[in-house]
Amino acid sequence: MQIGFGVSFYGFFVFAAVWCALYLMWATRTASSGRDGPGTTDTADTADSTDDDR
Amino acid sequence: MTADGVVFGTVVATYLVAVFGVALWAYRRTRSEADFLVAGRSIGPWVGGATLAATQLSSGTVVGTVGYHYLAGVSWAWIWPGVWTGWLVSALWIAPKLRAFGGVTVPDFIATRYASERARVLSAVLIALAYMFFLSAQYRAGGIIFEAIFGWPFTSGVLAVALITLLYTWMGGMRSSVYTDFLQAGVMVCAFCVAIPLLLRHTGGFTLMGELLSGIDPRVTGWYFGRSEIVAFSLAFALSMAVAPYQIARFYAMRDVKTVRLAIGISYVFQALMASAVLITGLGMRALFPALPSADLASSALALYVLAPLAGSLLLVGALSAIMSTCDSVMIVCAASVSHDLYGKIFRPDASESRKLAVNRRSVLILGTIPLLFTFMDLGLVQEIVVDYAKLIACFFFVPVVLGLNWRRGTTSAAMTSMVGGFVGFLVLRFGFAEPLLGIDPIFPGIVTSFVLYVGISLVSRPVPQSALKPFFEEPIRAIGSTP
Repeated sequence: MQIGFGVSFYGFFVFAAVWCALYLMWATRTASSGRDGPGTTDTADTADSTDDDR
Repeated sequence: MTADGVVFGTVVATYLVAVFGVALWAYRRTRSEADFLVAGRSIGPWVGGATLAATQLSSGTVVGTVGYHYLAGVSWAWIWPGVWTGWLVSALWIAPKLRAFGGVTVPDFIATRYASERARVLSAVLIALAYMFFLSAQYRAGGIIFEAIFGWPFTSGVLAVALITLLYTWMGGMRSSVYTDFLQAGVMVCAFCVAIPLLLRHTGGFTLMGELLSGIDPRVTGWYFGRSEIVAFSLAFALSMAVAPYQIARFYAMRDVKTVRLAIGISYVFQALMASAVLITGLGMRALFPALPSADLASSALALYVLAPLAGSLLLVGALSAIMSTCDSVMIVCAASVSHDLYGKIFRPDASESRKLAVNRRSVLILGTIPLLFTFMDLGLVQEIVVDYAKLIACFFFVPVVLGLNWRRGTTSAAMTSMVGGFVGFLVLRFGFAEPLLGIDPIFPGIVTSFVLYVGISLVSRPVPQSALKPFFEEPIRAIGSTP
């Protein structure tokens, strides 16, 4: 019988941290390289984009 | 009122003042339907990431998921990779194309891609039905929290949550919704950051907590759910998150494709923090109180019996934030289905902007009120309702959206049949039998039905015109209203 927490518990925190780090690296690199992937050149900017957050 | 009651009342009142301050600011900036439904397409990555996370983190998370961790332990945490895979599918193959398309609602995409107003109406009706069911779970959780904070009867708590959320959503629409979400995401994370160390101090840290839980039920620290159950739950969340209309509506509100992808990354961080927090909360509460009358009470019991009044009230406001941030998103999607897709596109396409705005606001009030009827029926634990909603969305919407964006051959009749087949198929299999048929979770036959109908009928029916495919399959994609 398992006493205390095992891999399923501690492994989850490690998994979550690694997932976030890998995704953010990819998204940041894609954004800075100006590549959005096929078929996604965005020309939409229809309204008051002068306001709001950074 | 006791001293504790004064502290709780003050914290809740401060929070509500902040929410209505944001709503008033948004109300003054909302002049058209585009303002009301997509916030003028002005949202940046930080607010965008916070609103995606706040919408994702619902009552299902702060009441239902805590409750499931309380009951079933660690293994429930492994549904999160499913949720995040859904977001990844969206970031790679769905969100960029939909944002570049630049519609206002999800049925806008369905109507354009499948060149059919009938498909628009069908998708709008199915979305509104599914979301009203989901909204009832949010109200239910709100009732539980208000009952815990103020000792109000459950009915009064439900009505209070519904009234507050309806009012600020009615005022500022999407802009009000995303900025209150930003505030609410911050409140949620801060609340759990304060609560978790205090809870761990009571349980004696992870090691002692794990030993206590092993003594109560060894499955709680290991694998309570079997592999097939975890896969079914994960699949439900992955497929439904990838095409969730309330999240797609937020993609439309962001500045551009890059913003959408960065916002998804920022939302991952919020979600990972909250996933870890609710896991520890559920487990810690089981260790301290192994026999609560309902698992859904674990969050409020932590606030009331473990934490000091200030920390406890902050936690309950965090829980309320999660519930209200999801309610407002759902209300906008439901209202847009009726006001934009039915009234504005079918019945009165010539209506003025001010008229459309008024109809949008009225739709929020009406469609936000109807789910109250379901709230008072005993539909099960909050998390069970949320899981059923996720499976329903996956069964009727995943195939027409994902294949529609990535497979040219998909046809109008295939999309409509697939939506109806997935919707009805899931409901029959879920509620028509006391036990799952052949022991198989209804999501599997539901998805397969939707997929087979879509592919089979597409291959034998008339293709949609090339002009309808152009916005999704030609480079560069040009948005609605933009000039070549």
